[in-house]
Amino acid sequence: MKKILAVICSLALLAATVTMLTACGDKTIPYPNEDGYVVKVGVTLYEPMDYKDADGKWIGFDAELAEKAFGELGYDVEFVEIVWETKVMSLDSGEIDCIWNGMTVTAELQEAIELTDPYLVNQQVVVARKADAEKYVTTADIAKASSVAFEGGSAAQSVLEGLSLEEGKQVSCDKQIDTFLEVKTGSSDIAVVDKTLAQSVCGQGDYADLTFIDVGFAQEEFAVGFRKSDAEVCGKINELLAKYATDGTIDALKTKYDI
Amino acid sequence: MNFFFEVTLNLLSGFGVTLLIFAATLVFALPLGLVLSFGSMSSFKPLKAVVKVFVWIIRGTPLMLQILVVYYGPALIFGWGFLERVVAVIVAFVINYACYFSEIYRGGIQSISKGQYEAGQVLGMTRSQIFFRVVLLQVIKRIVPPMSNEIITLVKDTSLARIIVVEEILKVAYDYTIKGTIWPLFYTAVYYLIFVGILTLLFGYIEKKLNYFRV
Repeated sequence: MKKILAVICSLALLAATVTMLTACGDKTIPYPNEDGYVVKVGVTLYEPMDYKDADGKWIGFDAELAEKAFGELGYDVEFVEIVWETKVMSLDSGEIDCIWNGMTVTAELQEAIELTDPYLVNQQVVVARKADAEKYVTTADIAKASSVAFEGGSAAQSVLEGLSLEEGKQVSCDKQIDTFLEVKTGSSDIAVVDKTLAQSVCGQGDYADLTFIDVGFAQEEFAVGFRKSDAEVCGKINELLAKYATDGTIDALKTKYDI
Repeated sequence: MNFFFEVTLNLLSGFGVTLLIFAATLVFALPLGLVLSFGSMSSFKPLKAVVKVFVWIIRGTPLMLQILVVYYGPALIFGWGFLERVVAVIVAFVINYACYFSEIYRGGIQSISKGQYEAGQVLGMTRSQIFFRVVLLQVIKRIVPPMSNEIITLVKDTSLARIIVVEEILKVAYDYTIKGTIWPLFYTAVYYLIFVGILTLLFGYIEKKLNYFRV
């Protein structure tokens, strides 16, 4: 009896230990929406694109745009906070249905997920302490800094790779917001981040002594990301974004959120 | 001052989540660890081998990775739904800590001399009587120092929950840095220190209580 029990226990544990590699799970957004499906929009705290107001409600340029666009297609929206590094995993697993969070289009993302056409232009800028600001005018001046902070895997990293900085000067941070702390404390001389974020953070609160400089990096584009299996809904959102670009919706939001 | 009060309260609610993870992990991992330690000492070789491999996998991979596997694994591999975030964290912590506890238990149990088992048998006690009436209390006394070490580590490991966006104290503090306020991040240390201080006193008291029990 005991032996049989032990064998059963062994097998159960073995089953728990074995890891399986096949991935399946066909998750899609139903279209048209007949059963009141709620679209889960993946966001992070990223002023002014997605952030919370005093009551904990998600607001921001992207949050409003997402609510409006999905609302027109007949969906309610639920915002789900995600970790940016694992955003594609969140999408594939069905934790969220789309990423709408100031996401810069890159070649890797185009490979991995379905992207809409760009709806907003972004640019990388240099963040520096106000006292040092005039030292950095062009991209060539970045080499003068003793160290440069940026978010690992971000668009900033791609533009910095083009400058062939010394390895020791590069400080790859976990999040964009960490780079502001790097510069503020003097641990790094400058940071390279999204202009939209720099605009809202520099000069605020503890970051009052920071400023950002446009050193002439090439312009980039923000897009919304879906699973490859949701190409149809992605196309519908695309049509709406094109409409919003011409009917003044996007311009109004830009003014509202100071972009 | 008003803002300081608001931050203190918000961090406190974050620390509530930290404490929930901590308490739930202890409640489930302490007994589960005992079961695993019996498995790893079993005279039935296959069971022993399986438990050893299991403990090796869990102790040999980062806890952060295990949290991600528990949360995203079912959906990515089988296409199932999701556990509540905090539940997923607790499941990962329970499995992880049960494995560490099991090794501490094993060390404690195997440190009891064979003579005591033999004496029990001579007195006509059954194996479970010997374990629960003779061995267990001595084991508890011996494992208190290593267990308190592990439990204090657990308090701080809860900060890993941030990887799947659980609103524990560090996550709450981090969100303030995005709004341009850095000090709450460092202020969280006060909460951890106070709680670990209480635990340290508690373990000191337990050790003292068990002091009468000399072998």
